[in-house]
Amino acid sequence: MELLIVEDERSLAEDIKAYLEVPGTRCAIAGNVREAMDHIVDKPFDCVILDLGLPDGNGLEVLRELKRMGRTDGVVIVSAKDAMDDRIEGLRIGADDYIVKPIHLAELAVRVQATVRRAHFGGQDRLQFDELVIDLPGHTAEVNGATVPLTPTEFRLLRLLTASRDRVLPRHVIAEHLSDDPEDDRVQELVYAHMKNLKRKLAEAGCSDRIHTIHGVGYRFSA
Amino acid sequence: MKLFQRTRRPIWTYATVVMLLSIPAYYLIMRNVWLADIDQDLEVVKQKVERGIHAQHLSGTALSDAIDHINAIDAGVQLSMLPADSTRTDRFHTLVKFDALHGHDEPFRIYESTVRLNGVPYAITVSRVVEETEELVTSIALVALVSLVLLFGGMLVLDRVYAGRIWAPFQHLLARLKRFQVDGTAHFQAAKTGVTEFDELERELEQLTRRNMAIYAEQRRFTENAAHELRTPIALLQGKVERLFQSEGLTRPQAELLEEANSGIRRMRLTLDGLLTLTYVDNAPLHADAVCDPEAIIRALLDQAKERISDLGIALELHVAPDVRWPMEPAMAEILLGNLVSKAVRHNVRNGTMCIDLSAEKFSFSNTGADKALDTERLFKRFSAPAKGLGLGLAIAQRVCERQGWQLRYSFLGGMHAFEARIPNAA
Repeated sequence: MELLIVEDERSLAEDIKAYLEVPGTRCAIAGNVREAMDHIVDKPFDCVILDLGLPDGNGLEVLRELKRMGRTDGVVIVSAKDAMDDRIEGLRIGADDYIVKPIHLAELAVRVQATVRRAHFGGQDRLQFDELVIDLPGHTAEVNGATVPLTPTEFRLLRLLTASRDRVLPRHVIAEHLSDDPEDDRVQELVYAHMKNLKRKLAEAGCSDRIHTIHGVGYRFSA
Repeated sequence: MKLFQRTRRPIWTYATVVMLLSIPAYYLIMRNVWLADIDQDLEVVKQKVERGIHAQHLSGTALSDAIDHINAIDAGVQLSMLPADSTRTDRFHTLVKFDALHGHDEPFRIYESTVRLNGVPYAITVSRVVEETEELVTSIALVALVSLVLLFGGMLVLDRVYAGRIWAPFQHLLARLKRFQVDGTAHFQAAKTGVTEFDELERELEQLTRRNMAIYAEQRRFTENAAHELRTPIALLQGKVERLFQSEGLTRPQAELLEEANSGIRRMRLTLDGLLTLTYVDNAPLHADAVCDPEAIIRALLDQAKERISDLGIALELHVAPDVRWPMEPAMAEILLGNLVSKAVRHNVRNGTMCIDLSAEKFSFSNTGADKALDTERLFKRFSAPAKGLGLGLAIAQRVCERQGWQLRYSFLGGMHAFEARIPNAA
């Protein structure tokens, strides 16, 4: 998978690159509009992670250029501006997603994965980990061909884990992903209950033990 | 009440009073003038009779015969002898009596007085039919009435027609002002009306709206820049913490330090979001014709929160009146209802209840929670919330209500914490 990170804060770009660059994924970095244009002319990307406030212009220029070229690269805007107009304008021009900084890297990984897979696999999008098959648009999971009865929350949890597979997911990141109210502290407690149920259901269906608890930190999904 | 009606009402009340008073006044004055004229005539007749008889130098019997003749002719003069040295007081009066000439009762004007003939006092009564006079006076009053009605009627029609024309520039201005959006791109353009006052108003409004647009744009730029300048370093901090979480051989104490660092970053982020929302709520332009569908908004919000509500075992009761519309910006309604929903869940207890009531006249959110009332002194103040949350949610909700002209009230009754407001401008 080829990703382009357009971000003028070099240090932040490096963090994103370090998190998203797993075996099979390569990330290029562009620090301004000009560099980004060079990259997109050079080759297509599965997804462009696009900052809007760049030193030599607005990131939307890159998006417009992609659309002008008739390209289908996925675009996730990650902006420090949360003005409604920017959001509407970005999505109108054809961005797949719009996220306001700061964002958890695991959250970005889910959004990028969703954007890439929607663009490439359309309605037939399935992630496979040996016996475990996840039907992303259908919101279902199967183990050895049998559907695992997951609640919506458990499915979202599984999706977050697989998007950050082989990486550590801190508990608070999971809590914020699952909750609609980031100020409710009890969600951290609920994460434990949901995770326990998910692990139990997968185990009962005959799935190998892929979700590991890292004590004091969080969880990790092994591909 | 419209301004036209307000200015028209006293004028028309005055005009009507004058008209109603002037018709009888007209009649009475005309009648009195006529009667005075007749009375003068009757006096002249009396003098002529007196002088005429004197001029004849009649003897006692001849005078008596002459008086009998005059009385017999019955031409409006009657004489009768009075006792010596007595007189009758002069008086004029009107009397209805039989008139032989016309053969029926007629009003007569009568003058009673005294004349001295050959040194003897005689009572003289001069009378005249006044029917024609009455008819004349009535006709004159009628003409006056018709002219007054025509005058006022004409004024009424002209007033109706001209009021519309005179106020047309004002209506035009009002329509444009309602369409004006401080966050839009179109300026308010002063129009030429040809009326000095309206032209002045147009010019002033153009300047005022231009200033407002400039202030709003500046404020917005400032908020955006501030947000950008704060979000970027928070994003940097968060990125580092998250990368550290991925380090090989992370020990438990190190992980705990990272959790604490993360918790600080999270608080900073939420505070920033809260302050930006508050800034938005403080400055968002409100359009006069804004309308929102609170039911759609509350259902979407509850849908987002449904898993947390069911995880916590909270029983939800939602009552929404049919087809409720609020005169409110949809974005503001989302902020208000979103904060109240969050609060009702966040401060609720496991297996508690929350009730939401929405109608065109009021809304109320109530939930189970802590077993004592909240401190109403500090409740709506910024950053003064109890342990949970940042304490900006209610300040934001209250500010939205304030801008709508509603009053958000808190009560604690029967173990339920309730927030409610009346919507006074409900259609």
